[in-house]
Amino acid sequence: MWINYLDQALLLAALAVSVNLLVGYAGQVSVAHAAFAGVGGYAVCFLAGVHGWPYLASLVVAVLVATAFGVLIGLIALGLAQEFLILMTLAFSLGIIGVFATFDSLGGVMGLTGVDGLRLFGFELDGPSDWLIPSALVLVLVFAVCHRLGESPYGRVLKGIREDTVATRALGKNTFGRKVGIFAITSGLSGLVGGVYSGWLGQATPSAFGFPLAMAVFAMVIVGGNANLVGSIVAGVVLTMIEPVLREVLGVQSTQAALWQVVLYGALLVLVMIVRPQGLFPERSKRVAAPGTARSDVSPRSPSGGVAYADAEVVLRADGLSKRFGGITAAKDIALELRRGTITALVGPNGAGKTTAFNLLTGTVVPDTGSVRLNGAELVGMRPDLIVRAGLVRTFQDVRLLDRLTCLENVMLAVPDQPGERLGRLFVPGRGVSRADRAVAAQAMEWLDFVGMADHAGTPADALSYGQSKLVSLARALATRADVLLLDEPASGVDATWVETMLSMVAAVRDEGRTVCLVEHNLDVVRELSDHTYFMELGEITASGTLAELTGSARLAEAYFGAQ
Amino acid sequence: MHDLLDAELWQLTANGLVRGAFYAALGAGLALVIGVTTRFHFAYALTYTVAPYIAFWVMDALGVPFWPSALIGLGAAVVVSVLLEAGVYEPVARRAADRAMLAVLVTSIGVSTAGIALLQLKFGTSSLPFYGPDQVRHDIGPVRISNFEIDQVATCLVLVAGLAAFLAFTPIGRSIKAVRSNPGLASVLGISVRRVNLVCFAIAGLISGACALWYGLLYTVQPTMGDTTVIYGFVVAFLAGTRSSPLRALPVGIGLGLLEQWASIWLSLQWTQTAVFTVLAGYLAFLAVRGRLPRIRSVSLRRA
Repeated sequence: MWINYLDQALLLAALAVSVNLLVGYAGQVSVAHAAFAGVGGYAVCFLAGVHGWPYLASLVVAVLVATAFGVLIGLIALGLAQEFLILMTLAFSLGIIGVFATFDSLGGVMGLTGVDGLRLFGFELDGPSDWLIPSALVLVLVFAVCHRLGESPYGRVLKGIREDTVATRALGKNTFGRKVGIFAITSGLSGLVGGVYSGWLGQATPSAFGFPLAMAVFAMVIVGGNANLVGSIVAGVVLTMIEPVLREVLGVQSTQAALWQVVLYGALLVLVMIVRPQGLFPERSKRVAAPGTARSDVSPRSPSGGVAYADAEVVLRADGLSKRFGGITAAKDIALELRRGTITALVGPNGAGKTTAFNLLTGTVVPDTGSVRLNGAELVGMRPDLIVRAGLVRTFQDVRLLDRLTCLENVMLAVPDQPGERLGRLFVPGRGVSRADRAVAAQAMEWLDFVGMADHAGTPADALSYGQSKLVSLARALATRADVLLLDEPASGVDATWVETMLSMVAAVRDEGRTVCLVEHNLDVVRELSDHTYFMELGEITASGTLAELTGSARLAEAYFGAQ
Repeated sequence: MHDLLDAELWQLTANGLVRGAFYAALGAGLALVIGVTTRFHFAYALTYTVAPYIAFWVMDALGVPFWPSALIGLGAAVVVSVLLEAGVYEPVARRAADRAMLAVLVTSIGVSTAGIALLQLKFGTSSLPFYGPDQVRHDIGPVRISNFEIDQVATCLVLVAGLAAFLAFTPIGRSIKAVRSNPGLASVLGISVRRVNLVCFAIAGLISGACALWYGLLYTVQPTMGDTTVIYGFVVAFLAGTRSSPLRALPVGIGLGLLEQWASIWLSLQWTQTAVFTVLAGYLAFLAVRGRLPRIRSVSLRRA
């Protein structure tokens, strides 16, 4: 009796773990994972129950079919705003359950029932105790996969997507691909759990995989805690046991007990959401042992500031960049050059199109016409994350650190080519991934040290002051090892002492031999740093030269400061 | 044979219009909630189901005649809707801050499922004998239509047109539109966003309740009646646009209703259930492809 409930609890916990990987780590909400479990359940009952396939083979098909549905939905909905994903998964749940319920070959509204005599590896699965081992194995397998993915560099990218997809993409990560990947993986795992669940039940019915199941799984994830897989297991087991306790201990009639369980789930969900939204077991940020903070080869080298601007090599050249949004010309025929080891400034009044220029250069907005060549390679038309990998990174005016991650994790995310971000490498035995991750942490520490923020490595980003967060975002951009850095207002909104710090930082970056382009309103900063300045107004570059030349022009002074 | 098909087509068209008006009204109500309050209000299914259940209870247990009972059911839907916002969504959204959409959706599914389970505990899991005035069938040419269907269409059209007029011509309607376009600015201007949200939920409750009562008279009243409906509502709301005039829900809802009915000529009846999913998937795929090609994201537009 109780063993039967334990089977169910283990399987629902496994479902909760896979949904938590998607919702808690990657921040993508899917109502459809209960339906994916249904796809798996029906696949098993149809193939193994009706057509006499071996159970294991039908489970494999269950996983494949559920994964395929996951890829399909992911490709359609994951590139759009979040509400479209929710809508799509809602509609999918309804549609697929409707399909289950209408086809006679799938048993219609009654579903496929009376599936028994399933065998796995030669063992007959008959009573509840026979199912205990397969259920436990599924939970262990799902937990192992999800834990490995979640608590790895791969999981760090997922958390980045959850916190800020645009910022994560701007660090060179293929966020859309990752989202589709994790959606498909969790769909497949749900299909597996559903296949075992239906085998245990001996049936697959349309009502078993509807919104009540989706809701039960959400309740487990939320109560257990977002991005805490152990929490999901505990909550999964405890919540599933509500019904049997009502029934066996309190003597509530069976259908009533099931309904009361749903009512309690709902009440619990609301309670947790209001009282303790992080869940009973909150997310833990990984404590990476801070490597020795001794400065190494990344510290400022022989100042190369002596290179004359005119002699410096052109690293990035943009030509004829134009962009119209409807009737508004946001950028018109922008042409600019960035030269190695120098600092170029982009100045101009608010709304002149400076940030748009950055968006066009980095591929966030695709220009209507024009070209951007970085070391001779054309960037227009490349995916934004690949442009970063090619060596052009930007910071944001509003910083966009990943709030719930520590400073160290923020910078670690930016390090390119981490083996632990590749699925294939994560499941190869050996310690290669963790060794590589320690090296990544060491690198990230060096960059934090470079900007003077090493002491704050373990601080969550949302606990930083504004000035500090700007420094971390600079470290993050540096960690991408990109050749060219576009800094969007590095010194705005911070007080005078921080301006000094930022100034020396940007100069140090230049002395590293990197190429810097900055948008800045503070003309003192521009005067101090820039070797060359472009003046923008109304989407066009209307003048260029040294800042002294520009400020000497009465017309520009008026355009910038207004008539006085 | 040809005439028969012709007659069937007319009948299906009439059915499609009836269903379409129903979808349009539901979509307009949900679009208002989503567009103004940004709550992913899945529990629309609950306010929808509550109306006929309470109406039935008042009729059955208290012996009240049909029309007053229906009004009480309608009132119950409005009350539940407002209580959901005040007692659940608002506090949850405040706690969840930047992850409010996710938190509200999950809570909403929870509350909805739990509320429907409560209804089942009280009224049982099977359908209710929900009867009102007599149903009269009219034959208009090749089309057979009942007075309920005509009244349902009229109710839905009045609700959508009334909502549009309410938004356009009343002071509170204009406040709603102000919050819809910029809640921050609206509250700076002295508009109480909280009150506006509550009004939107009251309207949504009213629309869902009215639709559900007609649905109950035409078909059946049962616990899961809201599941399908809320999804149609969501699809119509998003296709019509959650920040545009409720009148736009009319062509979308009617189009969906007609498509669903006409599809049954060519497809076996079993597949018409997936019609709405197919339409949605097609629309989103279109959006995704359009978004991918020139890669204009709303985010980057706003930041530009």
